[in-house]
Amino acid sequence: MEAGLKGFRALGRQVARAQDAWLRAHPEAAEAARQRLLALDHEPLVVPRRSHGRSWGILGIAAAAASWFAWSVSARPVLRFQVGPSESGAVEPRGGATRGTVGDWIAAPPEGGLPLRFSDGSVIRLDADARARVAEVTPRGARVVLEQGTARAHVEHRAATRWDIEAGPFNVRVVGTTFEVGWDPARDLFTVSLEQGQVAVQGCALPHERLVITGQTFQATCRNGRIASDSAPSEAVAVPPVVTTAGMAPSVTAPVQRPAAVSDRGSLPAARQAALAPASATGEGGRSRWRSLLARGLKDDAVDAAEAEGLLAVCDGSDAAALMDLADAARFAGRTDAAGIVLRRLRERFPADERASVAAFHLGRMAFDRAAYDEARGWFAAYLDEQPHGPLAREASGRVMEALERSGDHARARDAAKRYIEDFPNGPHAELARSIGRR
Amino acid sequence: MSQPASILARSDDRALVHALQEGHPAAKVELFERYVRHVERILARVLGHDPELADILHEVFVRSLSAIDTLEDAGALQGWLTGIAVLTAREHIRRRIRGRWLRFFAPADLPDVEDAAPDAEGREALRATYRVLDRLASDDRVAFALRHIEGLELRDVAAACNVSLNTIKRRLARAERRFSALAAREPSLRAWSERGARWKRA
Repeated sequence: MEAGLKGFRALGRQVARAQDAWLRAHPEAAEAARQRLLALDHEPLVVPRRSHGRSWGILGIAAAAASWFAWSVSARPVLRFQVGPSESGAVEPRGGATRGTVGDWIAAPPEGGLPLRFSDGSVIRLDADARARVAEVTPRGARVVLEQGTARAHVEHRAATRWDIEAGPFNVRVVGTTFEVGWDPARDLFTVSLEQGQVAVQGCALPHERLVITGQTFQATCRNGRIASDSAPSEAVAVPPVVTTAGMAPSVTAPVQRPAAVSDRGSLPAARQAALAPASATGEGGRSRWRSLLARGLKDDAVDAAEAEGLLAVCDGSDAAALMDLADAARFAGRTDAAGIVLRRLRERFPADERASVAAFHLGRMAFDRAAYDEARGWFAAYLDEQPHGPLAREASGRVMEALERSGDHARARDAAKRYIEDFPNGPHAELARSIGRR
Repeated sequence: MSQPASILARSDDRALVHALQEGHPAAKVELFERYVRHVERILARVLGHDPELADILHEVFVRSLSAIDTLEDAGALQGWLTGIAVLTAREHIRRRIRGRWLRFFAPADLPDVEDAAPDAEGREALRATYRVLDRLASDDRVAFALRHIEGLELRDVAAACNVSLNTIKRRLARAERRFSALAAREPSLRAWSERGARWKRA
């Protein structure tokens, strides 16, 4: 038996060496897990202490599993917030504070301000008479609607932070910063003043996302679809280093050209167009920031940077290889919206490039993952049309069949299954194909 | 409570566990940095290449942080993490088996070991080994992977699986018999299998 063990161990050592080499060459999984874990900074992960028993016995692990399942079932951890005067940073109500409810309108009293404290450490303080509601909370941030008045916000930057503050027809997208935002519906006047960090403003007559940085105040009115004023300074400025949490490499500082002149006027753009349009004019330094972040493996930050620059602008200024890199980063970071935009743009700009077909395949997978089976089938079919003998043809064929089956189109699924077995009798979908064929 | 992160980085496991239990904000990062490679390696040993490795890795740390208050022997942190990693991996295997009929991986998800594995024999041995392990019962697979691929001592395998030494010996014996039988049908493992047989005869 001992001799037989030598064989297992020799094989095991060889397998281990190959695995270790693979892990060294692919640090992405650890990096993704790291970023997701850091994004959970706000989420208390506490299991009640047991006073007896083995330290890591079944019950303890079961409790951990239960806690994890509760977390996962509740559609990932989201921020919580409290409303009230307490200066305590704790989430639990104390000192007169009350637990906040998403969707409720919150009005600051005439005599003073009212803070909204979020479990990630961010605070939005409503000035006297201001009215707001927290419209949405997510694991990465929140969406706050300021109906009237002024609010002072301090948003903690963490990996993949995403905060939006809507003030009238304007939207302020925040990464991590301290600023004051105001909306006066009577005067139709929007104001945002940056004490620290940067925000991107979009909406109303802004032709594209407007970057507002430290020391700037931006004012605008939407009356008649025109921007009335803007006090942004005229000098080119550097983006301040992004505040990072411990264990993360600091972000680079890159020069960014000042936002476009205020005299930009025009009709109200589509919100989507505004969101995708460039934040700055033609700053090459700014455009390359996402690439340098990506080169350092900071995928989520790279996607953030690309979005801040304007995804369409990034797409229009990048070659197919770079676009595929960005799309991969977005997919890997779970930013499927951004990935979808980049992949579609890649197909539009480089229809003859083989990557355009790969983009179709990825779009199909993303659609499949969100159970949009008809759309998924369309993308996989597009891949097969373009690359009938391409390296992904076998998988695309299987996915077409699977998408048809899942969408309830069993007759066509059987046809697809028959074709699959003919073409790929030993393929990974063959078992399913035979199963479908027997029905 | 107010230990700076740099001190935590130099601390031993007991201090780290204490900081975690006290809720020190930098302790979570330190735990991850200190043990991510170990946990990732344990997961890889048990699962082989898995496109969901990042999710599972994340899950192990979330579970660990959730249960850190139950860890009474702070000096046993690594073994405790190994146990949670094994538990998580085993559950993942079972989920994978349940969903096998509808779960298929695109080439992008399949092991891309050409650029990393040192030789063709090693690459194919890696693939074939996990093809065989895929056909073992999950408990037996875990025991085999921890013992023969990770190279843990029997008592450590038993501890990681949270079972007695006798139980792990039974699992391992069953896994080895089954592995040998299945490996004989894998061309790339036949050499290993025959080599083992020669050693057995020696």
